[in-house]
Amino acid sequence: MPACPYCGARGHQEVEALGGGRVHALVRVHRALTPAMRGEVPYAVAVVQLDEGARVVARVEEGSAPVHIDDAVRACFVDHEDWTELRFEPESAAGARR
Amino acid sequence: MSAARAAITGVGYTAFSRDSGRSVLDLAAEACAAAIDDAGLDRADVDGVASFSVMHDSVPCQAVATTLALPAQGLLLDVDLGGQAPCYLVGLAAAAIHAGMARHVLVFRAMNGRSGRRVGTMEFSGMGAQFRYPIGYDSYLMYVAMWASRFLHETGGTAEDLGAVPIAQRWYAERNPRAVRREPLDLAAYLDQPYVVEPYRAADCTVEVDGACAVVVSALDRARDLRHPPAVVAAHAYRAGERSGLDIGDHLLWDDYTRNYTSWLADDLYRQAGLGPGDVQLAEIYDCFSSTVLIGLEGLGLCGRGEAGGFVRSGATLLDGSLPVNTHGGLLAEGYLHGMNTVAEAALQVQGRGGERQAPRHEVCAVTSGALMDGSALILTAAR
Repeated sequence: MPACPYCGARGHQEVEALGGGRVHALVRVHRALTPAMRGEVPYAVAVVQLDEGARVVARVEEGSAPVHIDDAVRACFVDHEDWTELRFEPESAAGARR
Repeated sequence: MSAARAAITGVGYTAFSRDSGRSVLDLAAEACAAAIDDAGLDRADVDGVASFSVMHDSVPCQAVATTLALPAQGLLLDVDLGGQAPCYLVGLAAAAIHAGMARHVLVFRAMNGRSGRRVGTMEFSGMGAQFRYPIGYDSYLMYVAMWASRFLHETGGTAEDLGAVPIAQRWYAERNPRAVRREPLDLAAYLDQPYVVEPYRAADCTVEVDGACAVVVSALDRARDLRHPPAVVAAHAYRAGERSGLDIGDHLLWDDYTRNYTSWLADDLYRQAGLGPGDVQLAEIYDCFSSTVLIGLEGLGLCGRGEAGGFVRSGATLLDGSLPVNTHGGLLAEGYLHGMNTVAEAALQVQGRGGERQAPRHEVCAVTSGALMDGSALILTAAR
């Protein structure tokens, strides 16, 4: 966006996000609505509130345990052929790998 | 007291089907002609047409005016909106009438929504879409479900609260020959349905149909002499709340998913009508998905915060309850005419033409259009 949606000021400032966040809202897609996602169901999509304040929408890797609203999550990345997708995984799973 | 100057005087429908086998223009013309006849007007009386479409799934008002051989038109209004539009267009028609631009305005929605372009799986263009589609956040259903998840979380709502909405509305649909889903639904059957997009099961989602629906909005001084008692437009309001986003699916800057546009327009609506939430006798609440009924009831102050689920579960929204809601079965059961049929049902109820599903007290009806960041509402009243 070319200007701030809160005050209308033009321009922006970049803030480095460290990757931590919290699930604000969450859906779990059981029936794919588009052909491209048929091989992916079931999958979870969340609105994640980043620790730095902004919200993003992204898939959450659930693994063995389901993710819930208010859970802590951490950014991870999935490479596709010509783009890289920001996803999240539970903080516990991310911590276990560190 | 309200300074109302317009009323809904007639309604018209086509049948709702899975495959009409007809053009959208043909459907639009049938519903509009039926609404004119229902009002007791001649086509020569109509001098305005307003409608809405999503991604060009309908026909222009100009085409309908031409097809119906209407006289010269003072108002042809096509807007690029979905379910936010019906109450908004009725309000704009009332404003145009008040401004002297027209006397009788058709407001319609027509589409082959099942056999033709289906909004449920349509890829919306818009500036935010590039960030949603590649990750599989790719349908309007998901955006409304996202809000529902937070609403249920914050208000302590359960699957039983959500399910109470389609269950109650199915009771009405059994009494509505026009409804597409008419088989009874109870809690066990509801909970037995698999999730489509959690927290929604199939019964939480509207059913796409082919069809058309229209109403006639008339100047109040002319409405009083027509065939049916007028459903007076006592108040109308549209609101896009602050930071409503880049497009229909961009809700990232909306702070509170437990409150939608109804919270932003309720005070204005009641002030215009000179009424309060306690005066509302029935409500037709936009329901592309079940949760929007709960959020809408709370947003209009018809229930307290977090109380809507219990309110619907108690039976309060049935015909013998304190506030009948979605007496046509809603978009969940009658069919997805994007809320045009919600407005038409409200008019029928206020006019006392609800038949087997007529609310016993029907002098003040609240109606809404829309689900998330923006939408519109009316208060329709019997002539006073």
